Amino acid sequence: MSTPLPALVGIVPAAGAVLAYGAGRRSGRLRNAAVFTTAAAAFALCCWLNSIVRRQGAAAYRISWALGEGLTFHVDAFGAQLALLVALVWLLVTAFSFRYVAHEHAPNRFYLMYLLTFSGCLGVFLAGDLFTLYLFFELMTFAAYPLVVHEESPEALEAGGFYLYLSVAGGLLILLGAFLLRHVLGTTAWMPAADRLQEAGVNPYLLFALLCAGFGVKAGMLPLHVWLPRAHPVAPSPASALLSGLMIKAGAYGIARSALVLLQSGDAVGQAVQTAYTAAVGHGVGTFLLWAGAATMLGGAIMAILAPEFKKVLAYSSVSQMGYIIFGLGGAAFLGSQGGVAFGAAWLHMINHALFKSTLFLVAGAVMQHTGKRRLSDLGGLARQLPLVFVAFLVAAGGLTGLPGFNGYVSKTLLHHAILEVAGHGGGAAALVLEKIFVFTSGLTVVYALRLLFQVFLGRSPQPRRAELLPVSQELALASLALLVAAIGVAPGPVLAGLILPAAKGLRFDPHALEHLTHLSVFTLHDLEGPLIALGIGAAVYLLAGRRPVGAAPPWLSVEELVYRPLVSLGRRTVDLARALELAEPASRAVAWAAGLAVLLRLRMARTALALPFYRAWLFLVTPGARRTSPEWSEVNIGFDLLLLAATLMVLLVGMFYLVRAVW
Amino acid sequence: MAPAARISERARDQAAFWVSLAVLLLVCSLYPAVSGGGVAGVSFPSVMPPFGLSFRADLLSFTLGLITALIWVLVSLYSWEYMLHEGDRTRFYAFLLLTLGGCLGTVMAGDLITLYLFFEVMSLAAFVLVVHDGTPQAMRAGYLYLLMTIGGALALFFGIIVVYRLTGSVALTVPGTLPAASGLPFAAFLALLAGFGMKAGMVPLHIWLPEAHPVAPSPASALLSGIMIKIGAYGLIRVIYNLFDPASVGNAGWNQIVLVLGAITTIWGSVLAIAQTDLKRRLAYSSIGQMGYVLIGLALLSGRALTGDVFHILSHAVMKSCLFLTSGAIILQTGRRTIEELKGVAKEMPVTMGAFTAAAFAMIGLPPFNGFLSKWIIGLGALDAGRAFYTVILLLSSFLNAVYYFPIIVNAYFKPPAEEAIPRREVGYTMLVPMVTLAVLTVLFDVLPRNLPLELAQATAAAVFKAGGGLL
Repeated sequence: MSTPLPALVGIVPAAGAVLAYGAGRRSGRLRNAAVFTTAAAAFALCCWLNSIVRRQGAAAYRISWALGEGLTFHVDAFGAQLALLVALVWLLVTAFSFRYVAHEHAPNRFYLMYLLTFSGCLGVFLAGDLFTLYLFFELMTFAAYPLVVHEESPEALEAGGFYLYLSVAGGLLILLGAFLLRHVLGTTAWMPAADRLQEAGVNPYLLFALLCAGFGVKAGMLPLHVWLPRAHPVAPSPASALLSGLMIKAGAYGIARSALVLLQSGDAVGQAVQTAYTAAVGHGVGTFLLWAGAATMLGGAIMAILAPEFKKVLAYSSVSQMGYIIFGLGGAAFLGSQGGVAFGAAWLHMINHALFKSTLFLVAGAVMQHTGKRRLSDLGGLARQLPLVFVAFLVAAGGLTGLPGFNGYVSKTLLHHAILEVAGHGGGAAALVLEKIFVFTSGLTVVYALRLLFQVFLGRSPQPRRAELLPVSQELALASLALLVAAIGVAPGPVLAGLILPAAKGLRFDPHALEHLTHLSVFTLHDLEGPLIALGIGAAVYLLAGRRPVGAAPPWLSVEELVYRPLVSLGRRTVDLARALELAEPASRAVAWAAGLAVLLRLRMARTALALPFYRAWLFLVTPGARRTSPEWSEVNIGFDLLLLAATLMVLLVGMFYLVRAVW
Repeated sequence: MAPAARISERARDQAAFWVSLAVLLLVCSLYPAVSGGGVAGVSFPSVMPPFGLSFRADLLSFTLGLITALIWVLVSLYSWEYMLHEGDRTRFYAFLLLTLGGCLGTVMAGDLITLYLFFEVMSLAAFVLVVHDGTPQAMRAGYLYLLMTIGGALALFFGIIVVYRLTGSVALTVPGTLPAASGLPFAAFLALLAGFGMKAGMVPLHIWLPEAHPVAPSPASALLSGIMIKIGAYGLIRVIYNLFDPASVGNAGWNQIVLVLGAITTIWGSVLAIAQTDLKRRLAYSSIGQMGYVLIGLALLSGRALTGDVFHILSHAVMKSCLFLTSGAIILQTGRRTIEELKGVAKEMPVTMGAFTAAAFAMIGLPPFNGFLSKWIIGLGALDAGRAFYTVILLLSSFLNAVYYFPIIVNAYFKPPAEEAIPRREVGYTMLVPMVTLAVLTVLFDVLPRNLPLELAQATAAAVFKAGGGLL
C-alpha cells in the first residue's frame, strides 16, 4: 500500500530537531517539551505504521524527485518492528535524558543532533532500497558525531576521530555496493539479486564483501570494531545508550538484508527461491558470518572483562553481543530456507540487546550522575544508595547473561538451537567448535556481569559526591525498560508469535521451520542446562582471576595495537611523503617544462622567438628559492609588465603563425 | 550579444555588481534561443581578418555562461565589503569585469581564434587579480602563473594552427571534421590538451594553481577556483566533442590519456591537500583534486558521465566559491590563516562557519548535498563505460576529502580556542548574503522538486552528444 507514512516517520524527528533548537534558544523547558513531543509523535506514528504493515503486509512510498535517484520507502514487518523498537527505546531514553543533560554544556546542540540521529536511525529501517538507506545511514553517522564528542575533551575528540574516519570509510564501501547494484539491476531495491549478478559477471561475494565491511563497521564486527569501545563510553550516557542499544543495530540490519535478501535468486515476480547456486553462496557467506560472529563475541567478552571503566565494559559487551547477532545471521544464511530458527534468534537478540543494553547504559548514567565517577575502582556499594537503579541493573544483567526469566535467555537458547541445527545440516565438526566458543563466551559474559555487580553495587561505598535522588522521569524510564526485559523473558511466546514470525515470513524461510520456531519451548530441562554451564564457567573464572582489579588490556590482545596503530603510522608516513612530494613539486615543474620545451623544439617551431621566455622560465625554475625573492620580480610595475607581456605574446603568435604557414 | 557589452565598463564597487547582474540577465535571455539544442550566433568577419570574430551560443555555452555570471554577481556583492580593506580597488574591479568578459567570451566563442583571444584576455586579466596584494609572494606566484599561461597559450595556438591546416577552418560549428588517429591530429590533440589542461589544473601542469589561488584576494580566489579552471574543462569538452568526435577519440584511445591524467590529478590533489596547513592552500589543492573528477567525467565518453560532468562543473563552482568566500571572511575577521588556528571559530562566526560546513560536506560528497549527486552520476557513468576503476577512484577521493575537510570542521566546532574567543563577530550582510546563498544552493542543487540544474546538465550532455555524433 502506498502511504506517505514512512517518509513522514523519517522526517518528523528531523523537523522536531529544528523546532527544538529554535525553542531552546528561548528556554530549556520549552526545548525539552519539544524534544519529548517529537519523540512521542514519532513513537505514535511508528505504532500506526506497524498496524498498517500488520494489516497489509507492507507500506511503500516513493518520492521520485529527490536526489536524482528518488527516495524509496518500503516497510515490511522486519523494518517496521525495528523502527517501532527504535522509537520506543528513544522515547524512554529521552525521558531519562533531561535531568542528565541539564548537567552538561551545549544542551541545544545535543538535542538537535540527538533528534537528527533519531531521524537517520528510523530512516535506515524504513528505506526500501540501498540508496535511500545510505542517505539515512550517513545522516545517522554524522549527526551522532557531535554526540560522541559532546564533552569536547581530548579523549572524546580522539575517540571521535576513530569513529568518524572508520564510519566514512564504511559508508563509502556501502556506496560502492550501491553503485554496483544500481549498475547491474538498474535499481538498488532490496530484492533477490544473486542470479542477475551472476549473469552480469559480477561475483556476488564481491557485493557482499563491500556491504558486509561497510555495515560491519557500524555493527562493531571484529576487527572493524575499534571505534566502538572508544566512542560509546565518552558520549553522554543517554547518547551511549542509543548508540550502543540502537545505532549499531543498523549495521546488523544491513548485514541481514544483504546476506538474506540480496544474495538470493528471485523468480519471475521477484519472490525469492532457493537454487543450488544461492545455497552454495549462502553456505559460503554463512560460514564467514558464523566465524566472524564467534570471533567478535569472544574477543568482545575478553576485552569487557579487562576494561577498567563501567561504560567501557558495557561498550565491549556491546561488541560481544553484536557477535551473537552476527552469529545468528550467519546461521540463517548457512541454513538457507531451513534457517528460520537462526534468523528468529538473531532478530530476537537484536530486540533484547537493545532493551537490556540501553538499560545498562542508563544505569551507568545514573551512577555517574550520582557519583561523578567512571572507573570501577572508584565505585562501590551503590546498591543501598540507589536501590531502584540496582534493581534495574540486576534485571538487565539477567538479560545480558541469559538467566532464565529474562529476555536474553530466550534468544541465546534459540541461538544455541540454531548452531546445533547448523551442525546437523552439514556444519560438521567446525560447528561443534563454534558451539563450544558460544558456551564459553556465555561464561565470560557472566564474569564481567559479576565484576560490575561486585565493584559497583556491592562492597564498600566511597562517599557520593552528589546526594540528589533520581527524578521520577528517570526512575520511570529505567523501570519501563527493565520491565520489558523481564516481560519478554517470562512470556516469550507472544513475542515470538507476534513479532518474530511476521518478520521471518517476509524472508524466504521454510514455513515448516518457522512453525518449529513458535512451538519451541525454551523452558525445558535440556535448555536450562545452558545458563547453568555458563554460570559455572563464569563463577569459576571470576573466582580464579576476575576479582583482581585490572589495568589496561595487554597490547597483544588489542586489534588497535596490532592493526590500526601501524595503519595510522602508515597514514602519517603518507602525509610525510606528501610533504616530501610537495617539495618535489619544483622537480615536476622542471620536468613539465623540459618536456614541453623538448616537444616544441622537436617540432622545429620558431626556435628563436621561443628562446627568450623559455630561457627566463628555465632560469626561474633552476634558480634556488632565495634568489627568486630578489627584488627583481617584486618591484616590477604590473601594468607595464602586463603590456609588455601582452605585446610579446601577440608578436610571438603572429610570428609563429606565419612561420608555420611557411613551413607547410 | 552578451560578451561584447562589458569590457569598456567604468568600474567602481556597485557598478561591478550591477554589470554582473545585467550580464546574468543577458545570459538568461539566451535561454529561449538555445533550449532544445538551438544555436544563437553572430559574427564580425571584418574584425581581425582572415578569420573574423564570431560568437555562437549553444546549450553548453549557456550552462557555463549562466554559472559564470551567477557566481560573478555573488562575488561582486561580496567584494563590496571585503575589498574595503584592500588598496587599488579601481584596478581590481576593472580587471574583475575584464576577466568576466574573457570567461564569457570564451564560452560563447564561435571559432577557435575567438575562443583563443578571449581565453587569453581572461588569463591575463586574472594575472592582475592574482598579484593584487603586490607582496613578493604574490609576485612570485603571479610570475609562475604567467609563465604557465604563456606556455599554455603557445601550446593552444600550435593546436589551433594544426587544426586550421588540416581542415581549412577554425569554426567550432562543424563537428568531427578532423580525421582522427594519425600523427598530426594527435599532436593537435595533445597541444590542445596541454593548453586547456594547464588552465584546468591537470597534473603535471597544475603547479601554478596552488601558488596563485591562495595569494589572490579571496573574492578573486573564489572566481579563479570556482569558474576559471572550469573554462579549461569547457575547452576540453569542445575539443573532444566538437572538434573531434567522441567516437573516433574513443577508438583512437586518446581519452585514455585524459582518464589516466584525471585519476592522477584526483589523487595527487587530494593527497597534497592533506599535507597543507594553510586553509586557502588546502582549498586550492582540493580544487585540483576536484578537477580530476571533471577530467574523468568528460573523458569517459558516456552520456551519463558527461551529464555528471556538467553537473559537477556547476556544483563545484558553487561549493568551491562558497568555501573560498567563507575562508576569506574568516581570514578578514580573525586574521587566522592556518587550520590549527581555526579552533573555536564557529563560536565567533557561526553563520560563516555553517556555510563553510555545508560546502565542505558537499565537497566530500555527502547526501543531501550537490557533490553527492555529481559523484553518483559520474560513478554510474564510469560503470556504464565499463571502467569500474574510476568509480573506485572517485570514492577513494571522497575519503581523502573527508580526511582533509573534517579536521577543519572539528577544529572550528569542537576544539577550545587558543585565545579568548570574541563571540559573534560576523561579517556584514553584503558578505553574508552571497555565502549563505551559495551554501543554500549546495543543498538545493540536490533536493529541488524539479532539479533544474540537473535537467540543464542532462539537456546539455544530450545536446553535446547530438552535436558530436551520437554514442549516447
